Amino acid sequence: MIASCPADVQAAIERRCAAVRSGQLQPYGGMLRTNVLSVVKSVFPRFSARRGEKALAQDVDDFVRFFGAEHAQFMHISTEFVRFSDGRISDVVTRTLLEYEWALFSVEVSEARVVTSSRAALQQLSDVRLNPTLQLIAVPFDLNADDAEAERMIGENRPPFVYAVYRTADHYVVTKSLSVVDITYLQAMTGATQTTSDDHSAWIDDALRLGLVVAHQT
Amino acid sequence: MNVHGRGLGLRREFAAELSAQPKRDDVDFLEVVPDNWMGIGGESLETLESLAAKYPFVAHSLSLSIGDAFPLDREYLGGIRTFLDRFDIAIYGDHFCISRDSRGYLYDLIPIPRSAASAAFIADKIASVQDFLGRRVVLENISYYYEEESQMPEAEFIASIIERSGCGLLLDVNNVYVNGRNHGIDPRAFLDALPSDAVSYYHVAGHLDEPESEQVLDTHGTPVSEDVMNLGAYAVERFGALPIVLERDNHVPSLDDLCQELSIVHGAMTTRLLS
Repeated sequence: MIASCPADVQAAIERRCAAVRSGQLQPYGGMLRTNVLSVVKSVFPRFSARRGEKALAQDVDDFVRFFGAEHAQFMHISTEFVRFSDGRISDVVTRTLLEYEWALFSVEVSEARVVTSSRAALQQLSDVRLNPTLQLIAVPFDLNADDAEAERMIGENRPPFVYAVYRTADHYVVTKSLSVVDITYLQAMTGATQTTSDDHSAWIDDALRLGLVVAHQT
Repeated sequence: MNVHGRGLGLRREFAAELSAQPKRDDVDFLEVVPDNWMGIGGESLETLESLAAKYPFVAHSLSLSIGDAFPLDREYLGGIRTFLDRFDIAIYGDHFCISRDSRGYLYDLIPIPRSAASAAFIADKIASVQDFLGRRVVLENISYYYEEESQMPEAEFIASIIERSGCGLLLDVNNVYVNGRNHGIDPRAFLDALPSDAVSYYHVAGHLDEPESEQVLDTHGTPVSEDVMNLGAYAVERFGALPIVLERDNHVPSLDDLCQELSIVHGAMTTRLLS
């Protein structure tokens, strides 16, 4: 059982940390902001370019100054930045890019093991499973579009563009645009819908080749 | 698994290259930052597993925040314990620092306000960490850029915590040098004030010393200076020929150059004692 921290020690710690957060205590305040900015730019390059240097610097300053990060590990700065940004960014393109690039990061570091799968190894079609790193995202514009094109698409009120983001057995992070057929089969695999199509086998072949689905490991 | 000799601080810049090579004769072990590897999979995990098959690891984390005012983060510590067990790591440590306030984590190594009261509190926390992990904890003296005159001297503060908790010291020779320059402390007197059996292993790194800058900065971005190697040799004479880890975080050179520097630094620090 650890005794509680003496009040004067606690007060001294709070004062010191507050001075770091405010930027008054240098070089700590500056180095901390530089480190956070570097992580954000590295993990979210498209978001950062879209956000712009000035707004991004303000985001980072507010993050350091006001935000209470819950994850201890430095590698989770990006996750904490996404939490911090929730409800803060009104521009749809910018917000979407942040969410998409965070999905890329999450898939890349996911603890799930992805096995190499081939059609030949399958006993039956029901032995396939979704890739364990798979994340499905629905966004209001084509992710291959540039920013101006993305803004135009949002203005057209199109149906959402749906993508699968997943990691292959050889560690590539893939973003695959999904067709209505893809979505139907993926939903069927989760039990959300039923399929009776004769094309099921061909779709499985293709999905196995792409790594979208994997053979079930017993 | 215990370690000896020359250690390299593992960084992502060269992890894949190192894992693809056969075991190198000029590196005896790796120091791994668990914060950067635990709880993640994919290529990173595969690389780490490959390295673990060739080199023993020591673990040196960043976010224990032993100097803060709050209860231990059991979720974080649980992750550390799982990581240590998984890779058979006997030596684990962090820093004498604060990384958290009442708002949350700050992702920085902030110096602890040094007093008899804070030393006693921290010693209790360390004992609790050691119980939880089933290992002796090894804490590093940090470089600091802020000092209050009324504080307890750093060496006295660290010695007091070591005596109370039984923890070990990861002696960062470069930090002793940098603090000596920035705060007018004799680095050898600092080393002399520490218990002679306190040190578990050494860190060495480069610093930035620019004429126009008011302070020497612990950047880990330059080769280890002659002054630091000489101070390291003095430390080895006092504390013994313990494992030495070279850290490099910025302007990371080629892996071959880094390993060559490790051999040079190790030689410079240990030759006098061994001759």
